[in-house]
Amino acid sequence: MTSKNSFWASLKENNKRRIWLWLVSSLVFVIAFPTAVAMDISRGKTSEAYLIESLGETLGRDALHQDLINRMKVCFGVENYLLLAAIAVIAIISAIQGFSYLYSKRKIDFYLGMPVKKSRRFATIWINGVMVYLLPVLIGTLFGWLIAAGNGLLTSEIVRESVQAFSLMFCVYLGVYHLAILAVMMTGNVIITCFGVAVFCLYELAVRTLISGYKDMFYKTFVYQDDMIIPLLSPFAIYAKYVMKYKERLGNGLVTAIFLLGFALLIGLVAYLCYLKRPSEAAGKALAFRAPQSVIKIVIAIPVILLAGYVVADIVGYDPIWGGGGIGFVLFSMVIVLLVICCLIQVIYEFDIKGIFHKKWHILISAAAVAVVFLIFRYDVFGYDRYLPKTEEVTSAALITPYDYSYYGDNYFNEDLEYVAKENFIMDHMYLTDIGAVNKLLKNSNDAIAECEDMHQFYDDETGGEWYTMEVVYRIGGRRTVSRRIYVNMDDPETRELLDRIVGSEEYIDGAYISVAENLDNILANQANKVTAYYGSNIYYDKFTREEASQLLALYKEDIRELRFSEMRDCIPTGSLRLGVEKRYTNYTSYRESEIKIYPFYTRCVEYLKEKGVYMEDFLNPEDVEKIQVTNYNYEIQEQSDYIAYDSYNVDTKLAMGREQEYFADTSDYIRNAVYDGEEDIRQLCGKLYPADWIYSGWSMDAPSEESYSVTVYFKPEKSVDGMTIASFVFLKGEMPEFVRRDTAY
Amino acid sequence: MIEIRNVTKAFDSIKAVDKVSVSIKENTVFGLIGTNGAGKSTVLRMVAGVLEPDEGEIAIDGIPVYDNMEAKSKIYFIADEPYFFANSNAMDMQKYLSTVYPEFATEDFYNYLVNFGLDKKRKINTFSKGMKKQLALLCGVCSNAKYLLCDETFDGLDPVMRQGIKSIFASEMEKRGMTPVIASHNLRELEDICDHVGLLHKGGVLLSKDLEDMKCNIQKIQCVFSSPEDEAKVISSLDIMKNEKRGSLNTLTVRGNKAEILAIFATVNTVFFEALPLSLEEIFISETEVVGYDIKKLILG
Repeated sequence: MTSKNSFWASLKENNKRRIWLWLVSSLVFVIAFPTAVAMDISRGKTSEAYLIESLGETLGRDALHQDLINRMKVCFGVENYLLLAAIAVIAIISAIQGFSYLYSKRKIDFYLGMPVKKSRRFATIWINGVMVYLLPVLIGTLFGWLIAAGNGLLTSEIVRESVQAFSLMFCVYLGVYHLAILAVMMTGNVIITCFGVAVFCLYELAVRTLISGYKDMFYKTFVYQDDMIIPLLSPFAIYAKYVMKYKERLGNGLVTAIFLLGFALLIGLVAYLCYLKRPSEAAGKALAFRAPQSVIKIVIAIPVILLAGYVVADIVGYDPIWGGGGIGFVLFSMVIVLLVICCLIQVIYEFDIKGIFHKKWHILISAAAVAVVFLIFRYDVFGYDRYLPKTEEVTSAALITPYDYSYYGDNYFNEDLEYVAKENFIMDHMYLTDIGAVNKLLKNSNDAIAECEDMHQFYDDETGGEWYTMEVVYRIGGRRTVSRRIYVNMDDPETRELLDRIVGSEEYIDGAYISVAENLDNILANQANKVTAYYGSNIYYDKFTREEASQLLALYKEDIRELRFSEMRDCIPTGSLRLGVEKRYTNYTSYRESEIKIYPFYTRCVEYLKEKGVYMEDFLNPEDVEKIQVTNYNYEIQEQSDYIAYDSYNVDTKLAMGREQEYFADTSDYIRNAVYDGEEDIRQLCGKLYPADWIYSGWSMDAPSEESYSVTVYFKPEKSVDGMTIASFVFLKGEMPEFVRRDTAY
Repeated sequence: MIEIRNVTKAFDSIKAVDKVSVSIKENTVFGLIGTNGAGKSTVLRMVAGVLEPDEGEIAIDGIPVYDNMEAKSKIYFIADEPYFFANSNAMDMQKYLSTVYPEFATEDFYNYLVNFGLDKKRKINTFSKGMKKQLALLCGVCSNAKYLLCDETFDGLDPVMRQGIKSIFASEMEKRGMTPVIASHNLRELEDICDHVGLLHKGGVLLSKDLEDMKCNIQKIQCVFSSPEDEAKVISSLDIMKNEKRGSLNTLTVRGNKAEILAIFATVNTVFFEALPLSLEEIFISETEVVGYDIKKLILG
């Protein structure tokens, strides 16, 4: 019955109803896109004169060409997010506009009264919905290519990137298009459809975010990771994951396209089945099908109620981990939102305010479900904080510590000098196999957590212990990873022994140190990068050549192999290698700084530095110092005085205040200063002073310094280092000269 | 023939059509009468294949209609508020309908447009309500579909247009056996058009009869009997549906053949006797009163 001619005629007739959409699509893809390409080229060329002037004719032109090529890669490539956004919007509009007749009884009477099969009508609208994107994009891309070619920028690489991006974006279009069609099929008016599209696109993201929020609120061992909230069932998420990998040159476009197509196909199939089953009388209603109404209502209500609880918990400071109160407010807000959301959805379903209290059982079910979820988190029903994997299940692990950091720059970036989070960098490079030791750390942590009601107890002076938090990541099976925060007591000999085992292991050293050094090696080896290297000890720095820096890095890699955790923890660096790396782009220069600390027990490095004559035993040269000011805050006496002051305080006032910490004495009364400008004093003090920043930058958070004392060093004006006239230093415990103690006593 | 067998359709908890069974013969004008909410539109929408019945079957010339191209190509459905494409004119509609009804009579369409004074290039959204109904009817007639389903289409048409449409119907029925099915809540609108009438009430069919049969089988007699004996004799001999007596004047609605009834009256003496023509309204009143309904409340309002 269906002739080929009449099908084309149907397509043509259907397109007449969609002319405005063709115009919008053409405006975006055929006009705006090539214009954007031309503008980007033009913008890039504005720096031509500057580049030629600064780099010379040949190098300048090469740099400009490379920059323009990079710009074209973004324009035509997968990273053109603006184009992706436009595609998503067109897909949604196309789906809604194409099937909008389903919202109107008049249109349904007309269209469904015509002798046209449902399947054919669907095919007609679907094809036109695809063509309205495909044709303008193809033409626009062709125009873009012509513009690029006219400027000598249409390289095979650009064409390849363009084809890849076009294919992937087409798959995204299909996915979003089908999601929007499904939303149309399940709803009966355009506002609810838009809401449906938002739910389809954001629901998983919202639920994942909420789950991670609740884990963060209730679980002491929870560690947030970005990929926790990335949805699995979203064309945007699949695409975004690919782009992230693409940036690291790891992504597989074909696999991503297959995933996207599979997703689109699945959703398209469901949408088509809904189309076939959709009752005509659904026009104008909120939801087309009666059966899933209750489920949809409850499934939307649950996360909204939990979200309300989470937000209120944040506002009132309800924090079960640290013992903050306010559960009453949280539960009250959840009850209110439960009533509001259930009633609101019911009103929307019925388009009648009188229906506000219909289906009261929905309220009961939602309340029960929310209560179950809340209690699961509150009482850790599934043992999240008791997690301990079986050793044989774990293929490898990583231990990520927030310590061992640098005040100067950051060591974690890729070859393009893009910042990489330390956690991600370590995750990519560390593969610990001593799972027994890692598990023991986790078990000790879990046991300690189980014993305390809230985390304040960990840091209670009376409980004792020097508690550190770290993150352990288990790789289980092929792809699954499990992360947990662990609390380790550095005062515990077993813990220190375990850390010696783990941190001293070859895998840890490879993951935490060698990988960083090799990354820096590669950056040094790339002659296109402009590198500045210095070695020094916080105040004084000597410039190193690129080769000298490489050589020191090579020795560092040998020394670090002999690392022992205990040794490093109790030691203060003697100096550091600082690297500044510049990567020049046309309009800007990317700059990164990094720092490798050199410890006294790095024998090869120390020997090399001594050979070069740059190794310093002390951090300060007495000849450069004009005076040294020592400030003693007399904390111990302050604390005793506070106690006395508190004791004599009016009893009623104390009761009214409730907490003794709220009363403080005037601390400035106890501060004593001493200034040393004599040559002998300065010489004696210089050998005992350590840079304040460095003593905290290692593994030890328990400052080995004299806590009551701070030292300010004033340099002679003619000896100022890099314009610096003062610097902060500290005394290590037990190393402070007696005369200083005497001079600053209270 | 359109066969509607035990068809039921509910919208949520409201049963719009309940076990309706009607047969609509070819080459007749079928009137579907009922109050607002009686289920006329729902029946027509199901016959047109727009709605799927919850229960029962609807067949067009023996072919189930829902999502069936062959059956639906025999039907053209004009809804109570006919839809036309946004910003379209009569030519646009003709072009679209020509793609879905291959036998669309394009030449006739334009001729009819001229005859009805409708401008083929004028945007339909500037047409009056009556003009839109005319255009919808012309589209339906020219689609060459065998069955033309009109939902309240005649309501509001002026007498001249009604006459014009009637003549087109007559011509198309004669030419190609077209079968119009006309739904209306107003009995008087259908009186001069329909051959067969089905009365719907509260989702069910009260009756479905041929109009001529109904007219032939019900007679209205006004008479004054010369004696009470004569009156008693006649009344006992006739199948009287209704007897109104004002003074000595009897107005009788009698079921039966006219000749037989006249023969019975011939056996008695009457001072005054007259056989009156029955309007469709009166036939319906009589028929429905018999089954216990007050038709005046139902459709005459």
